[in-house]
Amino acid sequence: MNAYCLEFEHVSGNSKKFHLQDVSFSLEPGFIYAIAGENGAGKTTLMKYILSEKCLYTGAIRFEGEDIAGRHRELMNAVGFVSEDNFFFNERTAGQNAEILSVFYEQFDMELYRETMKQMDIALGHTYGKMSRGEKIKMQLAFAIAHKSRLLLLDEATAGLDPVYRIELFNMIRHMLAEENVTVLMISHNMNEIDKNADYVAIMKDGMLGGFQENV
Amino acid sequence: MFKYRFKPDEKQQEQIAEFFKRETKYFPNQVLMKYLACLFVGISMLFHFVPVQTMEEDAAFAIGVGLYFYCMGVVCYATKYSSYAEASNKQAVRVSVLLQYLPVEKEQLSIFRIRKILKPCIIATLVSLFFRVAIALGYYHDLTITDALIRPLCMIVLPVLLEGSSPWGFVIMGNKRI
Repeated sequence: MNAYCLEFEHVSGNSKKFHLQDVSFSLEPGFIYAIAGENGAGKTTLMKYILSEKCLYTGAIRFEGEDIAGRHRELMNAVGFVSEDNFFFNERTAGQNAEILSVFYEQFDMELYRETMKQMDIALGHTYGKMSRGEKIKMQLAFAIAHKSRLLLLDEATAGLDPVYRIELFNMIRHMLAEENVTVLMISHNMNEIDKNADYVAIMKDGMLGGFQENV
Repeated sequence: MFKYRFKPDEKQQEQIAEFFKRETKYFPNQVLMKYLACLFVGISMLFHFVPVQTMEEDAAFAIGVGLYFYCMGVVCYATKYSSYAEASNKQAVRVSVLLQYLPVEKEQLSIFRIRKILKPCIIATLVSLFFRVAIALGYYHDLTITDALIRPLCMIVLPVLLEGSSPWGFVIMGNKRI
């Protein structure tokens, strides 16, 4: 098994607004990695390169040692994405959302989803569109846990959440890291939150990423 | 560079079919779209039944108009598989965008849509071909290549190209992608 969960090798790319310049890093399983940077630094673009079915970059992105290009389905089975941009049915309950969307996953554990939702104190009968932002983020995390994600991507997931929700969310993530061989990559512009929760931090500026440093 | 290979993956096709089966609230405007599909295909049939000899110098124009209405009808029919809108939010979202962070390939969604339209397209083509050939042979005792081959081919190939390449249903809905 490859020692690295995710590797970027000289990844560069241009979009209308952002550009990434020669980004290289490797993430080991079992840690929370954070990329900090101002709005527009290219953090979300970097995450989109992992998530997009189209290969929008030059260089190579490898997941567990294999290039992700052309392996979107396989990759998304192993990636949990938690973000405001993530889509769930607003008019469906948390339970119905999981029932409908779980059809695409190889190993979605509905029982684990129910248990996680219960631990997070969110009712399965709660309609997604009527949930608070914190509840939506927690539900997405429960969904990612249920389909046995090995790489968890948090895109400004905690922005605008109250401190109680943040603490609960990171407690859940720490619990996930302790139980499973998961890697967490979060992007945020909140340095305080990164200081408290991340194991390794890298700063992104103008499309360039500094190396990950241990967060002491 | 991303390329369409158009190779069906039966497991993914089953997953997509199950997804549409489970999401029964899917696309509240689909009833309207079904009526529009019937209307457009109905109008197109008026043009498709008529053999080339009847239209004389207006043949190209009439065939074009017929195919245009026909393609509009097919696209409306397939909208429920390409576009999604919630009752509380009328702005539609492309299904491929909606499922972009899930283990679903756009190519497989296109193949699924093509499979859904193929049967109705073949039926419509055969019906129009039957009437056209009957009229051409019955009244004119002559059958052109356009009537017998080119028009039926267009009636199958054009919708497949439309559904396989671009989200035309989305254009008809007049909405933006997210």
